[in-house]
Amino acid sequence: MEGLIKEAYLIDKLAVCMLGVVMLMSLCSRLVTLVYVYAFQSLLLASIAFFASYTPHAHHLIWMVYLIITVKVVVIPYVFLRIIETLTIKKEVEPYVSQLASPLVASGLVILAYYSQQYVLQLHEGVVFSHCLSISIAVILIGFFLMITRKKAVTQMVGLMTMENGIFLCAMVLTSGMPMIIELGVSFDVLMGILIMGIFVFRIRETFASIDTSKLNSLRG
Amino acid sequence: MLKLLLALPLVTGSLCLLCLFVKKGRAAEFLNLLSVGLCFVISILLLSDITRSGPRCDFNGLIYVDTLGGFFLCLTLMVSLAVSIYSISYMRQAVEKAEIDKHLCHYYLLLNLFVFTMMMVTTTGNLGVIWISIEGTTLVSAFLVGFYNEKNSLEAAWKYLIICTVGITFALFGTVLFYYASLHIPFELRSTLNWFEMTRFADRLDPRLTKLAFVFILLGYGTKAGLAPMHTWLPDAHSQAPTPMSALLSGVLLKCSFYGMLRFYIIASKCLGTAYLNNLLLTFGVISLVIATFFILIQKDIKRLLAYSSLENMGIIAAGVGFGGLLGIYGALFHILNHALVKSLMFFVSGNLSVKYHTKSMKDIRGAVGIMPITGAGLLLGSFALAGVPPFNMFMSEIAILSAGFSSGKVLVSCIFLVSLVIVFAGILRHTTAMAFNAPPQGVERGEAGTWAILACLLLLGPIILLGVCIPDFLDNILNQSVSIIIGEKVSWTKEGLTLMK
Repeated sequence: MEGLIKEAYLIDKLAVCMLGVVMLMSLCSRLVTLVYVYAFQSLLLASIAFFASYTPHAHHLIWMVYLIITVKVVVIPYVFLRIIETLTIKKEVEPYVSQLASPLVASGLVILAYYSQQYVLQLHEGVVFSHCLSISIAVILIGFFLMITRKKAVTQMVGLMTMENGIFLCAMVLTSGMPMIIELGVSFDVLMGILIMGIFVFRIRETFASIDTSKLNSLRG
Repeated sequence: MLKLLLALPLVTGSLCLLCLFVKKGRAAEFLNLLSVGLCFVISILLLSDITRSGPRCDFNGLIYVDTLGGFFLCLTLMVSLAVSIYSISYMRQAVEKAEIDKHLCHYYLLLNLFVFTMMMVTTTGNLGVIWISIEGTTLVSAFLVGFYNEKNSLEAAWKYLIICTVGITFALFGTVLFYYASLHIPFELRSTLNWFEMTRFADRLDPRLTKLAFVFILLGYGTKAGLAPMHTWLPDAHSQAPTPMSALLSGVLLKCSFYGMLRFYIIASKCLGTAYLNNLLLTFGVISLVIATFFILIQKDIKRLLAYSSLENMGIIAAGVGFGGLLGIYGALFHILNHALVKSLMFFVSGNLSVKYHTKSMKDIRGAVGIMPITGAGLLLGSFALAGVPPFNMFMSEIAILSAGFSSGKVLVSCIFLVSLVIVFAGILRHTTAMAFNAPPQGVERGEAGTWAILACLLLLGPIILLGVCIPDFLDNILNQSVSIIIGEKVSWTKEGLTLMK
């Protein structure tokens, strides 16, 4: 039990770090930096999975560590970087919400997540990883916020992946991992999703000579 | 039998890939038709077997079909069969007119994969696999939506891909939360995401978490099911996809997602009671209905009109489950069947018309009955059914839902529901009668669409007319069993009540 408390402590700290990194994403103004920050965030997720695998009924999470490192730390950032490189995208992120306001909104979302957990759900009593639910809700919300306030298709994809990381955090830490087959299937879907979106980004670029999604606006009503 | 059923589309898909290498588009058409037809027959046999001898379970619950799942499975394959027949005519002329730069085999490969993912949704017993398959349908069908590779269809496909993926991400979070809600139950009992096992300990789930989880599920699967206000992808995707695909998207894909939500509804209602869930569903349903009503009135494009009508009908279905009770849910399930039939027919008809008149704009389509007698008749009959004119099938299900609404005591909501139906009635018939009659524009020659297209329309018209007159015993049995799965108690002979009301 002693050991478990130590791991829980570590996991909580790592999750807080992850939240910090996600907050950092709202500050990024260069696309390449954004992708690197995403990769680092996934690495933190992998280390959380590593420590979580020592909790009861969660030994299969060790496979998740390998899975996350291959898919989220290596393959997906590589795909992003390739897209950015081949399309020679202008490097800026181009937000709808200004670079200054974004971190403020993100902080607001974190407070909202903590508030909803402590006062609306009142789950804090007797739950070991009390931070993690709030943090994963906050990560999902910030990812969503990044998605809807950025014009570039690639930035939207990074936002989506951040949301997915939040859910993985919740699934691994709070429920000691979903059944393995589900985790595999979900990772497969995520990977396919990114590849398919990548294909569409190329097609959009060919047809519209830009990947600014605010130009996709002819269908109305 | 079940494994064969699931293997068939995959095998056919890979054979289509083979056809692609030897450039034999016709062979792919034939293979696809054969395989989907065979699947449909097998699914009917399977369903009749299940209604008699109970659910089938395999692979530790990864494959599990009960009557409710079987009902959706048959529905999926029925529409897929009609679509396969229609595709032969429609895609051939699209290739001839060089609207598409790709080979026909691409289309049939994607079609088979799409059907496979939808079959997975209905034949699995695992909530996680349901999520994976529904996400799979988005990924595959995005290619079909963007099949023409033009500006508009790419825009529609991108919107569809992004909005539905985000939506479905919320549904994944909801699924995780459901699992989290069972955390205090001993590990040996709960180490599963199979819904048929989860219903057993559903009353021990943490209610606060279950509430939160269901909200996320509703947001997530509701996005894919086309419920307002998350519906913004729907009209674009449905109007830009090739017409047979629009029928498949509207006729069954929306329902598959709704089916995913229903499974969670069953578990959550055991934990929370139905009041909270029903109010949520009702709210989303009525919002969809009202929003769709306005857009139906002002539409100019025939396929967008049909897309908004799908939004309206998903609203009706959600409201039907939301009104609850025996009649409400029976009506909702029956409406799912009716809408699949009628909307596929309408999309086929609209495809024939837009090919003939070279436009999708409704003001340029005139005198359809004179120009294309069978298609014109299909347009009229289909739109009567869609508008809910009395002897047709959709009237039956709408009246069942409406009476469930009034008897559940939610008078205000039922009145809004009724008024919207009346406005939609007027809106649809105004558009379609103008298209069916009036003087045709210059330079449009008389002549029907291809044989296969007509055949598909006629095959759908039969059941539409039949179901308005009577509900066959086997269908009633299936619907009753499905309703009893949803509300958790045994029911039978609901159609007696319906006939009395009529």
